Amino acid sequence: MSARKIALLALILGLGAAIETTYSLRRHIDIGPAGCRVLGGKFYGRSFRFEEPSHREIPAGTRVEVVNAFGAVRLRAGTPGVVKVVLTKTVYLEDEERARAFAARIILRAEREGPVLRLFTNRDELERRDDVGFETSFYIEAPPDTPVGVRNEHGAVDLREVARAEVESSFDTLEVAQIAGPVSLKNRHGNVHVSGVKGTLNLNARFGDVELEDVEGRVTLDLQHGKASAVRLGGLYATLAHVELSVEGVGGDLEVKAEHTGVTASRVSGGASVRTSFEGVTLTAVGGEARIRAQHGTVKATGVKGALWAEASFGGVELEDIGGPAEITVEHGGLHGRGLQKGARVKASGDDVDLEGFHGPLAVEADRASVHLVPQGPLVDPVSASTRHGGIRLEVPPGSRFDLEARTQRGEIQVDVPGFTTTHSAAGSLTGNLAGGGSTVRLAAVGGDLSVTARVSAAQGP
Amino acid sequence: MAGGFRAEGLVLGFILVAVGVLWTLSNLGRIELLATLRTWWPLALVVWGLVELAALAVRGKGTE
Repeated sequence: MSARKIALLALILGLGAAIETTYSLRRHIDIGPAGCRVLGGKFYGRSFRFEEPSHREIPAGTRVEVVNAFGAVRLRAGTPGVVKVVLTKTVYLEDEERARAFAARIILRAEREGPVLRLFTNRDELERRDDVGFETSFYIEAPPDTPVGVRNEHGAVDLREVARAEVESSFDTLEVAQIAGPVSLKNRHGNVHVSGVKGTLNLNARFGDVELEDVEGRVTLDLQHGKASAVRLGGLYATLAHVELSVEGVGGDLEVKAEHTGVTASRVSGGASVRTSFEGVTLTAVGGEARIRAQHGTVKATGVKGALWAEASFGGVELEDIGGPAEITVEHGGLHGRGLQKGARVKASGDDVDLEGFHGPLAVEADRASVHLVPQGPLVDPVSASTRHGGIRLEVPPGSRFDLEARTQRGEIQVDVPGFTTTHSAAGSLTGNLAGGGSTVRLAAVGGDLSVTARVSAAQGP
Repeated sequence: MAGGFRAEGLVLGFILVAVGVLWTLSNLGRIELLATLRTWWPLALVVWGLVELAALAVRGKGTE
């Protein structure tokens, strides 16, 4: 066979292969609004939409359940005693007549079983027999007192103005608003927006952002991989992982158990308990107690009316205006506090402790840190501060009365307060009193200096 | 080949004409090009084979 014949044979066979391949892939290669898609699936290309309205009469209080896939479910309050349904069928076929004929085979089923009306389609039968992409969307008007249940996959769900709601959905957005009773939601791979719920809210979500507004009851939130923002809740119990949580306005208690999650909360009427890791916690304006634990994260708390327990590692702690007693443990981080009204117990290592404007008894144990203490008013409560590899500096406001016991190893002691009386002084130790004495102030350092100085009035008070 | 006749040249010409005609008919909206090509492209092999057989017969008569 000559080279010409071989080349011609290759040309013909190559042409045939190209034609066969193109023919096989032609319905799966598209350049459309979603960009260039290869193997685009059944839901791409030309589509035709057909609507089928219908209605059913139901007694008051009948629960409406909708089961759907590949299409939206939207439900609003309508007239009492009647459920109106508009089923929109979108068929992905090149030819309108074929699409119309296929749409005619999509049938809305409405079955009453006691107090429940179930709405669904014959999608399963059609999918078993045909390889045609089609969407079925429900637009429903139900009586205002209707409890509603929805199970939808690959489609948005939008519920409003009903008595109560239970929804399971995936791969699209979920919106629920103006619900008179409790709400239970489960969503995967989609954003969730809930507003205006008068009852409790139970939300379980994965891989999507969550927005909550005006939920009067308690919210139980279980979220992984997403952002969560909430405004005006009756209370919040959250279990989170890989989330960024932001909450403003909690009418009751706030409880968060999280990992790899940053937490920011403000205006919490009740108590706040937050435990997280690898991100920080910021609490502002808490009406009750606050318990905060951040592993590998920072802690910031401002305006806590009750007691505060804060634990942080590999990040600092910043406190301001704490109304109750505070207990703080920091590893590999420092503490900066202003306005601790009822004293504090502090254990810190790795960075400085700076407490300014505190009232009440104070106990500080520090390591690899310097300590700076400035009481807000006259120092009359007991103070104990010790540190290793750092010094201690105490500024004494006018009107203070106390007995001082100071000792240091490998450091100096300096007391410069008018009226202070030294009763004993030796290398590395000093005792004395101010204004006749009072509560005991114990300062101890290893590898650092001790300094007690008078605070000038102009700088007094934070 | 008799008289410089080459079967593959004839077949290539036939293919070009066929593709051109089909493409034109597709542009006129008479046929769906891809489906038609997919159905009929093996005919090119058949036509080539027939031309080769005809050429062989012509060469056989020429040597008698």
